[in-house]
Amino acid sequence: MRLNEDDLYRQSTQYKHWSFTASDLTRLRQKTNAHAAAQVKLHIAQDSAERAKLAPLDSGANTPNGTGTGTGSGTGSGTGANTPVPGGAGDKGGEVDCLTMDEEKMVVDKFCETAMKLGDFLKLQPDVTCTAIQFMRRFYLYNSPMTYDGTKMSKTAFFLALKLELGTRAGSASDFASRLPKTTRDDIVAPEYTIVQALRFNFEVRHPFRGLKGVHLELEDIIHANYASVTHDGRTPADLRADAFAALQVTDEAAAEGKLGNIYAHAKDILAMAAQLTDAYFLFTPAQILLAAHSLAAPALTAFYLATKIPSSSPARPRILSTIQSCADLLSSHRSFTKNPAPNKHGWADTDPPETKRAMKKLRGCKDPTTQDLVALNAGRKRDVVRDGELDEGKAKRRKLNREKAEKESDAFWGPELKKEG
Amino acid sequence: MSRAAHAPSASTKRAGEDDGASHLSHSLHSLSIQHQSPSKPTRAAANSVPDICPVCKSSRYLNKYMRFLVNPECYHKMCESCVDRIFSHGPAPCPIAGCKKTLRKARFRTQTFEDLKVEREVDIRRRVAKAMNKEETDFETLRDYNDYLEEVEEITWNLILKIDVEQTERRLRRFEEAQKAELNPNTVRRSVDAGPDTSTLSENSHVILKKGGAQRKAQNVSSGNTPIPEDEAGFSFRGLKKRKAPEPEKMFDPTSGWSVDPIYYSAKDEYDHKFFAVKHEPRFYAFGYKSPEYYSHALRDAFGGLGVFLEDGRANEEMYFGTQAAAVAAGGGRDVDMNDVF
Repeated sequence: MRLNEDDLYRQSTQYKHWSFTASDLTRLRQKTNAHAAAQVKLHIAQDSAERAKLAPLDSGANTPNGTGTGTGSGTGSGTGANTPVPGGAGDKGGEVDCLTMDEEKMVVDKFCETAMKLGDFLKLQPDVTCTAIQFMRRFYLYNSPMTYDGTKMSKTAFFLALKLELGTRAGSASDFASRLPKTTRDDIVAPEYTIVQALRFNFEVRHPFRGLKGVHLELEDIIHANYASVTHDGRTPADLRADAFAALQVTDEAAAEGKLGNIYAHAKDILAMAAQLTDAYFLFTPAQILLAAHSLAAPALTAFYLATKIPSSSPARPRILSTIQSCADLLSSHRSFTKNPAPNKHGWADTDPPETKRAMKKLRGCKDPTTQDLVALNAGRKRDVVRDGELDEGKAKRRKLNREKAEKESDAFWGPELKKEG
Repeated sequence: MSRAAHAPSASTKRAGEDDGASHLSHSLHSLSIQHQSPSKPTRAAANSVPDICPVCKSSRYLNKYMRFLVNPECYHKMCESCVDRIFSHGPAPCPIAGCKKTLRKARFRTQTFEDLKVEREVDIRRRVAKAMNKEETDFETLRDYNDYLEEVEEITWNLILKIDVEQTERRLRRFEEAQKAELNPNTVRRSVDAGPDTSTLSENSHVILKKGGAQRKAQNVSSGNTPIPEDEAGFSFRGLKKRKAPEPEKMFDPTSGWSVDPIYYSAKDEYDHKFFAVKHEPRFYAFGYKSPEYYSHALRDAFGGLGVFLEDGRANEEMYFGTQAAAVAAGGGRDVDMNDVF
């Protein structure tokens, strides 16, 4: 009937639903990519067929657009209204050049970087931004960026994260929309259900930030020589302090405190950037991530700290250390990582690598036309829009009758509309 | 009316006995009722709806809606208006000649059975059954249970036939008290001070009027404070299982026995640190939030999952849940629309 920290972590949804082995993660992305590519090809083909059918009817009145493939002149009906112009090479042969899995990953990373900048722009707390980014990453595990546009999704992800982290202080969707340029309330609300559904209603994200504070609580304790936690080797607090000073390469307490503060800030930056923009959250637990970040910021101190925690005789020790090392490798492989804290934190994000640029360009040609206008889609779900036989006739009719009845009743209550003079 | 035990040997025995007893009781019973109310016209007993009230002599001919009421003290009938007239101002003696029972208005009621003898027997049986409510499971053997049933029947008939009424009543009451005390020990203290039971049917236990001071004195001497002989202590039955008091409820444990026992840390209540706002800002404590809570949370987060290796995979890896499962179930793998506002 006794639980340890690991048992508690195993109860979290992050462990149950959002933890993967590297191969699982790849397999899942492949599956999502293959499925999305098939859908995109199907929908683009359907879309152009529809245009081809409509074009002759319109041709008399409208511009003589040719009999051909319908290059998105804006005459399409309903959902096709803001269909992106399909890439020239793509729809000629009826074959669309879809993103590959790797390109998709690059695109998602780019979305997340943009989201990070958006968080800075909105002056949100770092935990809100990080939660939003994790929501995005989780969402794009099961959905493709070809299907759902990243910029639209990120706004809603931010709104969700805001509600999650701030609760009632988050404000309404319209408040949030007014803080963003060219955004209405509907833009925020429309994809909300889609995202929440893809998140499987798992809203909790276990971040490593609070844990990092916990580590520093103990490190400060060690420096002040009043550390009284479990020690497996008979070292006294004074011994520990001397060892910590040696690891920090300082001689007095004040200098040690200053150095600890710098280490904390550096580790936090690594967690706020590299950890968010890699797959660290999917592959490692928060404790491993934060210790990895800490070891990147201060290798000697982290080694000393871990040695006080895990005895060398412990069978789990090599495994834990190697896991932390591989997490550190992952974090340091991200281009945001610097050995020393950089003055301009987000300077690295101003330029994209050429592959990412290429993938973003490619994305423009292979977006799923049926899911671009999310606002209309959301409205359609709530009204009686019949899209490619999705809603059966009876249901549509029933909804229409119900709505008409409701309207009539409201009319009766308020009386008929007043006639306008003149 | 008697409860028969469901064992073949016992039931045959009891059936025979019941017949004999009821036969005997029938004749005795009719005698006793006649003895009790000699003034009553015999016609009234036969005809359940008398036309003339024995008290005020008003007849149904004059008052179509006349109702007759009886009081379980003496079972004398009288019309509703007589009851109103005589008993409205409190208890009063029965107006029927020769009957000195004190009656109260509240206890008048319309009779259920046509025959007043039956009415009285039902009342007595109800009362005895209320006190003697043991079941077969309360006894060690079936034999003991049958003995008990027999004794119950004997008590009932004693009361019906008015044999040893006073003693039986007293013992019944004591038995009842003992039962109550066993169920709830707190009631004993209260019942000690209570006056004589006015709900009894016995011949001698009159309701005491305030005026009758001398009568009250006599009553007290006879019933209440005299030392009780051994046999009058109440009924006791052989083979009755001792009642086991239910176990006291255990203290509620919200964690149902679970506790958190960390491996890597032991959180202190107080840390000497500078750079966390939580310690220095009073607004964090407004709703009872404590800094030790924060410290233990931070440390739990710092080491939670340190020994969990995700590269091993989880136990139930291929887990389908939510929309994915629904899409698979629906076939075709299409997204399932859950938004149906109407």
